[in-house]
Amino acid sequence: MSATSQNLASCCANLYELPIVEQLLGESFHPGGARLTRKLASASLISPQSNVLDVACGNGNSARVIAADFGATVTGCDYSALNLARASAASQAAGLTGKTQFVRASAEQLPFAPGSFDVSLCECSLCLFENMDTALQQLRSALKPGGRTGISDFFLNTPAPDSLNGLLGRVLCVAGAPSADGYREALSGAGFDFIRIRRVNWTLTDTIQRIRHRFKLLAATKTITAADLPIDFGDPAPVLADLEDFIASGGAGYLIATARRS
Amino acid sequence: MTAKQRPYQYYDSTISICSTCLQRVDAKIVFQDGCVWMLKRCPQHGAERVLMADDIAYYKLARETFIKTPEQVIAPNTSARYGCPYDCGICPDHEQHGCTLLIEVTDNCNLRCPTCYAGSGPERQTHRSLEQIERMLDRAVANEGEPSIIQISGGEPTVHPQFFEILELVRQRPVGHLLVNTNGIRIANEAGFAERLAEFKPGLEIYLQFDSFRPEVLKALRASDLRNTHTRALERLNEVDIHTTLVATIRRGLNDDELGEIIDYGTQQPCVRGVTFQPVQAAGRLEGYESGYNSARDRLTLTEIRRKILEQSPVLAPEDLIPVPCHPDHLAMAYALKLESGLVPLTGLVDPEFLINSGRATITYEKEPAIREHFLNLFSTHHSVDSQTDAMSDFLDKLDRAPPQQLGYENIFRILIVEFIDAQGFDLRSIRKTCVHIIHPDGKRVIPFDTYNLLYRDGLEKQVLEPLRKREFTPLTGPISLARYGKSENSST
Repeated sequence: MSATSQNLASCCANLYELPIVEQLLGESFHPGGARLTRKLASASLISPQSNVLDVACGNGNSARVIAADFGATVTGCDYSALNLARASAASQAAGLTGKTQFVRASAEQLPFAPGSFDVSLCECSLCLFENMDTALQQLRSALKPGGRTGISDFFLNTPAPDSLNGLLGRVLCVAGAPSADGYREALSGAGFDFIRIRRVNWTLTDTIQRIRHRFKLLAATKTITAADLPIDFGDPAPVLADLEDFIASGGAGYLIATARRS
Repeated sequence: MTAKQRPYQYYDSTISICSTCLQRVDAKIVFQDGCVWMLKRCPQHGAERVLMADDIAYYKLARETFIKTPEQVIAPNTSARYGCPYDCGICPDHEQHGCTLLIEVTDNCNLRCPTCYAGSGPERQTHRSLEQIERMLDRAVANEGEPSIIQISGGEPTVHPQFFEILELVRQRPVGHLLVNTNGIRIANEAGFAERLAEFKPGLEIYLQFDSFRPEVLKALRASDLRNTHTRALERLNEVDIHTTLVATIRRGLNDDELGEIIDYGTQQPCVRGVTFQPVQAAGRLEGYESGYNSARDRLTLTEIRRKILEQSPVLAPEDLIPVPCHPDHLAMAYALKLESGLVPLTGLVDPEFLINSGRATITYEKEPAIREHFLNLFSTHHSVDSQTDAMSDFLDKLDRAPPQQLGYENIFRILIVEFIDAQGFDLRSIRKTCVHIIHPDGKRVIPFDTYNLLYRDGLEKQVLEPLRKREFTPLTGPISLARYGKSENSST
């Protein structure tokens, strides 16, 4: 891993450790929340027999949803030790320790024997990685032959406006996202076939609305002030409005992609 | 202190039957370990835990979303007296008319399969007389008016000495489609047989038993290596161009890895219009299982078969293989276009609302004019670029690459999963929606396929059903249908 991508991974991981992020985004960090995770799991053919890898698992919410609702065994990996500790604690509280385990790893260098998993997932994280192709190759080599991968992420069909390239845009994974066709090509190039892209833009509208409400609530209750933030988020309202317009214009959106290890 | 918790999520309660004595028992439906389970207990035979589905999301989709207003028979044939399933049929509490009506014309068969829900075989010599068959057909017409599908079955129906006369009797009545359920032996071996069948076109379809490509599997299910029979029967059916559905009985661990291959093979046969997969129903003859049929080990559910199809035929996406609204938790289907380049799925492109709300309740949707037109419209060129989803773009891309043939109804290919209900998984909520029915040989009753094999076939009615009815000491006063409910409401005001 290059120094830059190391910095980026740890920068993003640090960012996601902040309480403000959980306060803004809720338990499931990604758009669509647990509902989209279930959709992604179904689309990836996860069953009670499946051995699943969740790359960039965050606080392990998706791993728990998949273990509890699909009966699958899930290994989550993340770069943030703090998130992993939370994930383990939450799994223990939910009585899912037999079905979930959490491992510290970078998505670009997974510590698993090739062919260990039936399904590999990566939710809302692929476009954060410096080298998406490397991450996709890792998602592929972790799979048994014929195994499925499932991805959810932003797509960007036209360049994002400058206002979205700021830090908040970065947290929302918007800035560096490929186009829908870009994902298709990248998956194909990484050795996947039967690639299916499904647009789920409703997840973004829901998420933006939720963030807007939470910001208002946090400000109104004075739960948090600008001084509490170690990073300057700025005023979120214009950014969110820009983002909404941009999505409505077709410039960006959210998708889930599934594919088979060919 | 944290409250004690169940090891499962409670979903619903229902009524089932004990798989030993077939007595009605109280049951719960719960979610645990990603699966849907039925918990029930019989006062005499103890508790049972039965796998209903290994896909909670799909189970809920089928039960909660794919619901449509049920269609009824013209008039019920029995009264609601002992309670379901002891009043078949059709009793006034059944919630579905018969989409497919079976007439078993003989008990005789030219095979003796270790797995046979009907217990047929060469040793059984009884054929139904033409008079009796006419009475059974007239019952079908009396119940349905114009039955959508009559399936001539058995035993092996083609061994009936008056087989073609039976087909004539069907043709003389207002029947939509005539299906012949056969192992294909006579079609394969007898010169001119396929040609005589072809005289009943159009509207004739062959349901051809086709379980496997492997001799050891065919020996286990059919006691006979039928590979050459399959090949020759399909050659003959292709020559005379009779629409054919391959019907595969699926046994766990035996041929559940051949689903994709059977679909592929079907798409390469010009006469084949679809494949139907049926997990073995625990009823009738179940031989050849190590130390006997063991439901915990051997039962196979619809959701397991569905996922295996999706794994083995990756061209199909989960949204392409969906519940059939008339009996959603026990029937699933996919429609696809059969092109030279392979299968192009269609179901996922259709709004489920449309499938739920249009057409008669029938398991062969494409025969309904509205749905047929809708499918044909899918591959017409009037779709605007704006209205296209990614799936539609993919679909049109594939059509662009395979333009030479004229597309039409002939290109539609159907994949169906039919899970018949056994005593283990018996769920009153579901049994009332069954739509594949058997005309009783008495010509007076029409009985769901599922309960017929558990309680009404041959000697079962006397040996098993009668004692159960005697136990129900308080006769019910009538059905719980809407009409009666309305009447009592009126009388109370």
